[in-house]
Amino acid sequence: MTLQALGHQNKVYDTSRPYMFKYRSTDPQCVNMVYVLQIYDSLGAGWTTVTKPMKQPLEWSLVDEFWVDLSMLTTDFVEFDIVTKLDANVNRIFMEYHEVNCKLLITEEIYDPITQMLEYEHDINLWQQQQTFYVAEMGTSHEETFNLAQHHFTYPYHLWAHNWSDETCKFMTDMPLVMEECLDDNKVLSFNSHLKGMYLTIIITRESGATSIPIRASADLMGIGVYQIGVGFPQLKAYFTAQGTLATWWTATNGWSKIQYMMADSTTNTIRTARYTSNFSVCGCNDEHVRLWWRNNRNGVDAFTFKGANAQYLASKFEIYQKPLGFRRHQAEDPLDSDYTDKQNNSFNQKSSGQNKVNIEAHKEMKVISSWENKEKMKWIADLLISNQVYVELRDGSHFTWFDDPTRFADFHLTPVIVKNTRMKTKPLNNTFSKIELDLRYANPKTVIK
Amino acid sequence: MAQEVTLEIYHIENKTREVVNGKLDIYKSDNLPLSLQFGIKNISNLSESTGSYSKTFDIPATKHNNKLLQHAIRDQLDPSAVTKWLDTTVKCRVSVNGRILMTGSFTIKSYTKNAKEKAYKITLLGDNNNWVSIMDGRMMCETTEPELNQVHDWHNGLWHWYNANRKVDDVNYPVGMPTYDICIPIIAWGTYMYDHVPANWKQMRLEEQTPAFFIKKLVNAFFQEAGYNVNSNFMNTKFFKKLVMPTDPSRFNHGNFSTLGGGTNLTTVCVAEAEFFNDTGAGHGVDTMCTCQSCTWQMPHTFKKWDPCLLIWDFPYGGPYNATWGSCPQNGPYAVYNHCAGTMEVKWGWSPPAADDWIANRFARYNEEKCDLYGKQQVAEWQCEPDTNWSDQSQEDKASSAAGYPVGMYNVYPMKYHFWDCPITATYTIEVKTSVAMFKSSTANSNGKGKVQIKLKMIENASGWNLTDNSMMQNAYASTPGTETDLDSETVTTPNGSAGGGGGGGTFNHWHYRESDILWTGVVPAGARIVVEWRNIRHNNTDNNGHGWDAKGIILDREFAKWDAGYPFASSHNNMLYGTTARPTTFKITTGTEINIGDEVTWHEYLPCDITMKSFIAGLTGLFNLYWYTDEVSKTVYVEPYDEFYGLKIDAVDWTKKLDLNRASETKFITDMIARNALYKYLDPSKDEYLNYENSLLDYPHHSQFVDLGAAFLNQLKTYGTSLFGATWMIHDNQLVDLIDPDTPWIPLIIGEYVADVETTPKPEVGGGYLPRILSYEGMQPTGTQSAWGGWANSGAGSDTDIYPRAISFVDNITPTTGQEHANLAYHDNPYTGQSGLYSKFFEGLLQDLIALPRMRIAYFYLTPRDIAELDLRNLVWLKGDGDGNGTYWKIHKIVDYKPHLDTVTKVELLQYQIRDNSAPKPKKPPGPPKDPKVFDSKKRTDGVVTFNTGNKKFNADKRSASNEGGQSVSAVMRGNKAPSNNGNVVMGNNLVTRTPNQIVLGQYNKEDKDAILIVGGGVDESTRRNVLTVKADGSMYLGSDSDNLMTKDSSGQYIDLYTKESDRIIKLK
Repeated sequence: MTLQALGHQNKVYDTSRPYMFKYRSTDPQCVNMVYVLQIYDSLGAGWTTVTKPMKQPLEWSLVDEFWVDLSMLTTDFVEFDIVTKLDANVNRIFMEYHEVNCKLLITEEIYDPITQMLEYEHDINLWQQQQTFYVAEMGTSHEETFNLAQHHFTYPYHLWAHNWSDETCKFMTDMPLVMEECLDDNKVLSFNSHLKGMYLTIIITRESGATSIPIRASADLMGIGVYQIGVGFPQLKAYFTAQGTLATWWTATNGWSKIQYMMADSTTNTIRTARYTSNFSVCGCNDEHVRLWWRNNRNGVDAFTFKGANAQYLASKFEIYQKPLGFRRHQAEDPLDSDYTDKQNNSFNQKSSGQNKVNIEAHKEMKVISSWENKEKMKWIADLLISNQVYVELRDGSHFTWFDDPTRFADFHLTPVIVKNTRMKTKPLNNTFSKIELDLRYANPKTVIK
Repeated sequence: MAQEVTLEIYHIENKTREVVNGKLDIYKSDNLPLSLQFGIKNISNLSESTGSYSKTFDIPATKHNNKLLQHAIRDQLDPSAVTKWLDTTVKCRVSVNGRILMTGSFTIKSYTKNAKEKAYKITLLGDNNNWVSIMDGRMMCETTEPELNQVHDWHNGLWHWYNANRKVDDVNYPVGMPTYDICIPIIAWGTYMYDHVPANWKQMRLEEQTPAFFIKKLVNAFFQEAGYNVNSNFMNTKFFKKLVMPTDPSRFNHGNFSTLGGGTNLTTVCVAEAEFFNDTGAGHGVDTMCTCQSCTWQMPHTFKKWDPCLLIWDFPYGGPYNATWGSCPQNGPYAVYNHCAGTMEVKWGWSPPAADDWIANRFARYNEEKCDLYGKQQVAEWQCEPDTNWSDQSQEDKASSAAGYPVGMYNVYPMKYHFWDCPITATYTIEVKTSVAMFKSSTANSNGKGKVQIKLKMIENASGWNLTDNSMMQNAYASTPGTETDLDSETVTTPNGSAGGGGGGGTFNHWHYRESDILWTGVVPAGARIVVEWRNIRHNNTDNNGHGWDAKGIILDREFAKWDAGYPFASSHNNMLYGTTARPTTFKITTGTEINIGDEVTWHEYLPCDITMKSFIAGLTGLFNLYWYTDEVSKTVYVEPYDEFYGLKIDAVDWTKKLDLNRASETKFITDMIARNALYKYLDPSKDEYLNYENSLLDYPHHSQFVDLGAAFLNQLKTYGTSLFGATWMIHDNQLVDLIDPDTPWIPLIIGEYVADVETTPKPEVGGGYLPRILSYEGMQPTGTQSAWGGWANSGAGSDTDIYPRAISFVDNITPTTGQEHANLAYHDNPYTGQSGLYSKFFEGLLQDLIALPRMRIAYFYLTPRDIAELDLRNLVWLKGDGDGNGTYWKIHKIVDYKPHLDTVTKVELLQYQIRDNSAPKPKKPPGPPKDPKVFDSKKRTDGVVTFNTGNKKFNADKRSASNEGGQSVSAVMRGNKAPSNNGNVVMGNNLVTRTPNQIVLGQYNKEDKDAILIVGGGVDESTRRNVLTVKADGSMYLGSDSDNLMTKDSSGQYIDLYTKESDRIIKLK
């Protein structure tokens, strides 16, 4: 007696939406399907059982099928982190947990008519192992699901057989394919691959107008999963410096005006993903610019620079407690009468205070304003409102003072903020350019001494 | 200051190790319902705060929490995986900035989700880990205090040791901890059974006494077991160190401890018990190693060898296949039987013995010990021989035998046999139950061709024991055999009957199952050894039918199954039901639970198993008005009586600058909380009928104190006092000394029946079930001028003596030992000595503070973690007033909801501290009894010597007569009068009775008369109550009690009626 999988494929599922697996039992006494979820830990632990046994009763109105939706369960295991530190030699990559490799172990719970008890095998080593599958958080919207099977929802955002040859695989972002970037902005792409041996390749257009061949800009990615690779100018410059090839691709007098970046496979050196373009410009004194980083709705990382004016605030609240001070002026006002009252320590000494603040809480706040942007960008940046992880990049240089190490210039420092806005314009009335304003609050309170 | 709150869940591994599972995500920590309370525990609220709390709040269903809580939010989760989130398996602790504030059990109450999982509602159920709740769950007898768990011998030597050279103030002073766990003072629990010879007086015998526990030892032990140290000046005073709690006789036995957990008192205790069991590993009912298929249901009767472990069957007759006997070939496989042991086999040929005789000693092989109270039992041991010896039959015929009667005995093996040595001369009951299977090989005309005897034997004065004797010779077990006494014996026999085989009727060549029961009760002297013998009897063979034959017996253990004995057919010729197992073969000695001289005693077993440690502490709290403050961080409990509890003003802390004037504070007067009348008392006696009777004669119970605060207070009577202890009556016990003088031993009297003149007459039988008592132990005190006899004296040999171990609840006008301080454990002052009572010492100060109209102030203070860390509620608080002047001292009553995770102000309740002065109203105590009532009750002795007995009940200090407020007259009370208070009676005389308001009763031993306004009683005792003069409310007057016709004699000597004339009426006098 076994359970037969009806809808369960070795695919990538968007765990931010329901996805359902069906199983059929041939045993008429099978009352429940019992299952546990296992997660593959690429760091060495192998398959780990992450849940206690779950029981799924027979589907209503059906006699032999069990339907399970694992999306809420698997969501818990999808994580996110931004690579904030790029090594000089190899672009730092993350692959663990942004996409999770899962497996179900299942067994039947049988009704025993003699004992009138329900019984199932308690040794999960004896359970049926199901195909592995992957889950990623892709934030697929309803309008994106038209006529698609569940395992197709994630098709645009990971590289596998279905988009191997057509250069349609997107990085994990809704960012427009062409972006204007400042030369001193860091930038990170998030790439989900189910095929090994991919690498970042870029095509450089120099200030002189010359365009290069595709140039390798990372090591081969030897695993399956999600990678983050630096594609900002400082990061690429650091990479080529480490490779010793910087002079070949960049000189101070003939810098870059734009790059195209995409992934290629190391076997044929064929480009396998969509081509993204960064048009570089010099942004001048960038202390006034505020660059926000956020976890985007495809579980990748995005960054955008607000070039408009910004304002910073300190907001606080407190309680007052008042200690007794004394209500009467004694002879303290009479400087001649020194016998009765202490001139310095009397209750109306100028330093004495009856009131103190307690329970002070303070937060830094910030308002940022973008430059004029088109609706395509606005729609993308609106993701900021629904992101649960938003950071502001500290760019004034002050925090580098104690480790101002030139070899680490590509590092960037992120401080968590909370976007207070609840509504953002994504398309202006007349379909023209528009500015975006965001009210931010630093997530952690300012430390207050007592 | 950043306050970081962490919520960690963990579980306990192996009962000790905390394994942290992780930290939970929480919503904003400011919103957590964390708060701490601080307060004093005293008589009114000791039971209130058990420290239990439960906090319920939400935590978000973050990915992290989901994983940490193992997806408990999933509706599909197997219920077995959910239970841990609902019971107390998972623990949780809350820390603020790393300091653990509370620990408890973590449970998930609910969770919410809409399209997505949102939040868990969790409950943090606080551990009841404060001393109040810990002690609430432990009975006094459960103490693990090592000294109270030591084993002692209960004999006069012990008594002597405890008492030697210790006088009042030497007792446990000035040593920091009590030196002794117990003492054994003389208490009259009932009639004295031991006469002094010549029998002028009664002996003070250990047999009639019980240990009394030093209170301080118990307090310290209970707190230490709860994890706390006690810090108390009061408990280091002589007064406190001398306090003891005597053991009720109903608790001083070997069965008291069994009442723990709701059990009932045992009536017997197991002294020694053992069972025979011989499992060779073959398992129940299995014919082991029987490779011969059909032998599985057969029992052999010819054994290859009787090994101590196994009976090995050599197939019968050695012949070829035999349909009757089995199917195994000659010299083929054998069967091995377990769960039995051979006694021996007897054989004889054509000439049987002329009379029954025994074959050999074989001591019983009880090898599984069930109990051994005194460690005086040796269980049997034996050693199995190697397989190679199985076919060796050379061990036959080892024992001597009468000529011509070969005896087969195969039991040569090294072993220790079973015995029990009696440690204490006492009455014991010995029960020997034996299961036997027996076989005889040929028919006979009468019963008993095969016999096995089980004999219970006592051996005294033997020496040179050979504990591995296996000679089977009588008396060979010792080089000096001593005296053997057969206590009892029983012989089981095979039945008579015809030839066996074929089912039905046959008795020989069959195994027969028999059970033997020996039950013996008697005195076993100390040193005697008790053994059981199993042995075969050679039966006289007068009805021998001319066949040689043999008989066998084997002893069976509890797993010997019927089919083991089913030879030759499974269902025939035996009386053990098919498919059942044999009754266990056991040996058991029991004795009554009473503690005999020489018994081993473990003190904690005699502490109450039905009184919690908390109740005990609460009982002391009410007795001495104790105030408790617990520093949970250092686990120190500070306790002092109210007056000493609060520190000095110079130690006060200045909280002026912490007071938050931003919020109004409230100051209120607490007059309305105080009742006008208070009665401080012990618990009412339940079974102490003597005290009940005495109390019935009193307005307020023995040792109590009534207080009237005056009309300004709430017109109520409130009762205060101990919630555990009963008051204790004291007498001068004239029975214990040769001649009576005013200083005869002064001892507590706790008896279940009222007896008049209890000082000199026999007391009722020893009872039990009394309230716990508290007494002050005074060490050895003189017996007055008289000789007494004490078991402690003469180094424990017992002899005449002039001192006795004394414990008191108060003293009368006995002669105090120089420099010694007697305790007064009555709530009232002692009228003889003027000593303050418990009320004056411990309660009056509080009452004075209360009626001085104190203020309670409820205000908010800015308390920092440091303030809380340094908090000591014994310290007064100084609050300056206006312009730094007008300061006042306050006592911290309660700190309410201190929130450690917030930087904010905290509500504090303060009580104003005041210096007592004469301006405050004083509690009015009713007039006390006469200070020196030299009223002696003369007793005439038969020898003509007139002595005096200070019968303390005549002027006991409890006699609080009614006040004369409200226009009621005062009842004048003398000995033995019974009259309700406050109803206008005048009662003058003794043993008068009235229950009618405004009645005047004079004389003695009157009869009640509800219609009378004046009665003159003229009886001489309880049985001859009569009234000599009665004036009725209607004005009529009666002379005498029962007459209805007053007469006189006329001049001629004739009786004539008396008449009076009133107006025109002639009225006959009655």
